Amino acid sequence: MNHELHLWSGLYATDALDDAEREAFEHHLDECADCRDEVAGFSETTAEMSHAISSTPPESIRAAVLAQVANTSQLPPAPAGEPTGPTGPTVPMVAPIDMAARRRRRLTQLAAAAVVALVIGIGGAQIARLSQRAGDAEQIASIIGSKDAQTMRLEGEGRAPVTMVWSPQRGEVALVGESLRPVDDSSVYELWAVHDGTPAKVALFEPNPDGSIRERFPADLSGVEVLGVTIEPRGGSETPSGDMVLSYGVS
Amino acid sequence: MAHLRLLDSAPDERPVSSRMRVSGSESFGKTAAVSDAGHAERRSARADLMLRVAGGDQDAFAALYDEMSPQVFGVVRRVLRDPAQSEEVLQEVMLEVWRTAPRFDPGKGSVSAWIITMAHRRAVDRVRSEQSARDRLEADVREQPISTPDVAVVVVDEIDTNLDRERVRKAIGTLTSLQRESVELAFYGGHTHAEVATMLDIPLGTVKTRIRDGLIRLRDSLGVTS
Repeated sequence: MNHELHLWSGLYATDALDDAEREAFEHHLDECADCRDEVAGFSETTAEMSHAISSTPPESIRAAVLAQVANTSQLPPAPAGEPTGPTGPTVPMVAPIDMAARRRRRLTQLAAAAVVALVIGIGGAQIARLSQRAGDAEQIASIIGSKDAQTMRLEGEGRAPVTMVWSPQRGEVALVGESLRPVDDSSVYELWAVHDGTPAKVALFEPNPDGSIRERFPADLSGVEVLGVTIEPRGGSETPSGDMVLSYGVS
Repeated sequence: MAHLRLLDSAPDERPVSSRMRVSGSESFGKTAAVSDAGHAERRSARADLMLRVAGGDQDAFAALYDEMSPQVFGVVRRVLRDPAQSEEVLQEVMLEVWRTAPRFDPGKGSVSAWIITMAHRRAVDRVRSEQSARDRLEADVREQPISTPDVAVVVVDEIDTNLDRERVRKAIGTLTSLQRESVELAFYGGHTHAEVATMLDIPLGTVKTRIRDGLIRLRDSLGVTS
């Protein structure tokens, strides 16, 4: 028995393995009854865990599914010896989606959230902060959702990646990330775009107290091949002085 | 009966530290334990329902949909975050349940484990494709700012008290914080172990053991039988 693979049962049950790893573990499962038992127990466990986040879907989906079921034939029972797992060909039968309706609903939810906050008596300043953040988020989301958006992932050793989305048409960049380490009070993150070997300052940014990054700023990244983030003294620098902590396009 | 629910219990991916703090301050009041007998009964009733579905009974399928769709939707929504994609995947999964029902083998596990496994796998497969990663990011940005880490915004949920939910949250509360963070990022967040390692800034091997140890503890405290 492969001891290393044996410890992958939890990763397998939570779908935390990548495709190649998953396949390797499934081979192992064919031969290892202990792991099969453990995975079965973990699957019951994650099914229980799903109670904690259950959420009633819209009634329209129920109607759509039941209508599809009426027109969908079932597979015959598996012949003996054939795996009975949930793997089967995908059935891409999905009712058309009314995007405008979804959007209205989302806005309504946001408004409802604000009302709830009011009702339970959160201070006015916080409401203002929440709604300003909501407004920013809407702008950032619309950059990410724009048709011409280009995505770049800034990565660095030992740091959570930050995703950058540039919409050339809007001339704006959105910067989104989680779990970015805070810098001390005398420092700031600075984003650079390298063009013809010369770094030019793009923007300064800081993570929110919870480590998230939600920033947008005007930028033209035409012809830029390399992006980098350094930590600079507060107020930023004209040329990078710190080490590059995150980068894109550096081979 | 109403109970308290955090507004930000919607799909999110804020750093685990803030989520932990918020959920730790939550009060559920009295928690009634669901007896093992009741649990076993429900499981066997659902297996009977599944047999009828396997026989092509559409009414039985409707009943199964009503029982399982909130859990399926919850999982899918938490992983995908984008409401439109989540609804699509819910439809795909439930249709797949119908199609493959004759191949369900009760000897291998419960109906809910079978369905939730299928749902989570699908949500994760979808989220790891390029385009949907961007949709997810977009939804994430839109949904995040409703609450801040310092302010636990609490709403009164009119949905009747969910004993299962309380039971699970209690069990999750018994994990060490690192077990909990790793398990939650992997299962609720749909992240790979490499992503979890980066997000928590811990070695890959550590993620592997934390998730396994966490699931063992959850399995035991939930009294799960496979």
